Amino acid sequence: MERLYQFFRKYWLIVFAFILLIFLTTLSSTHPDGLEWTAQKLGLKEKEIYHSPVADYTISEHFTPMLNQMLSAVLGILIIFTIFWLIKKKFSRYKNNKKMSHAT
Amino acid sequence: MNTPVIVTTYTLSSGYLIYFWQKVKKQFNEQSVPKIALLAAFIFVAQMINIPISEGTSGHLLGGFLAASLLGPFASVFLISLVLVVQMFVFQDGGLTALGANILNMGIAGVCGSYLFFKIISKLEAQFFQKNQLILFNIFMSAWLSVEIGAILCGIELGLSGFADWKIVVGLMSGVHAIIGVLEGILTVFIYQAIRHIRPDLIYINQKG
Repeated sequence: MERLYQFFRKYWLIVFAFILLIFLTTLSSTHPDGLEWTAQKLGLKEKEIYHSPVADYTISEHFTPMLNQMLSAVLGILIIFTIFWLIKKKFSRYKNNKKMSHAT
Repeated sequence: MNTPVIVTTYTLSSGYLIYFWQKVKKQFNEQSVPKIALLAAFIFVAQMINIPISEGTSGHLLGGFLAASLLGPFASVFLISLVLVVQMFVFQDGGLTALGANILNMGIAGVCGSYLFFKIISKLEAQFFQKNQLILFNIFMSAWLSVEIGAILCGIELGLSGFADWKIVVGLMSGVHAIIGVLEGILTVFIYQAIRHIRPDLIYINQKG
């Protein structure tokens, strides 16, 4: 509990910014973006050869679009943090094994 | 996209990414990895927020030059590519065949092109001005250019694939992204200014460019 409190005391601004951004995603416009707009004008179609688990930021059909957007944002943030956590882990092992320091 | 364009874009972007990975490995340490992770997460969420523009279209922040101004070009290319890969595999934003082209357009060409432009324009202005008063204008122009480079390249790739006349595609893409680029420029300047006031130690680019 003490550690959690320390964490928030140090990083409250970042945590707050992310919460704000996650809420902002619900206000996202449903208009097509620049590329989709061009594709529409020219009548281009996408061909699907790969189907992802969370296509078009829709986690579940039963949820409202707003909830889907927010959950997708949280999911994406978690995935990106996980990837960097793995990179960091790999990097520290690399550093310890080879006794190399890249610290500047 | 047709097969030659897919193969070419994949080859080019994977080649560049391997090269940048060699460079960026040296930048990774206990302090920089959390910084890069935070910025990646921020850019991911920022790309989800579409801001409506006129004529039934919308734009969102790409964050290419924003990342370059905080981390330098090598880490930024890596970061943007990672965000694009996550978007593609998890949320199906941009297809598997277009991934190579996306990384090439927005990641490599967008980030490196705008960063080089920023370097050059800053060097030129340093000849005429004592202090660099124009740094915000330079950031705005570089961010605008990072969007525009990506859009024009994407137009050329679509044209080369033979879906439509490339002049029309490039015209439409660069036209609509010229407006989206203004949005990108304004947002980049605001975020840069905010970070410069709160944590000036995080800024990578300096007054001399």
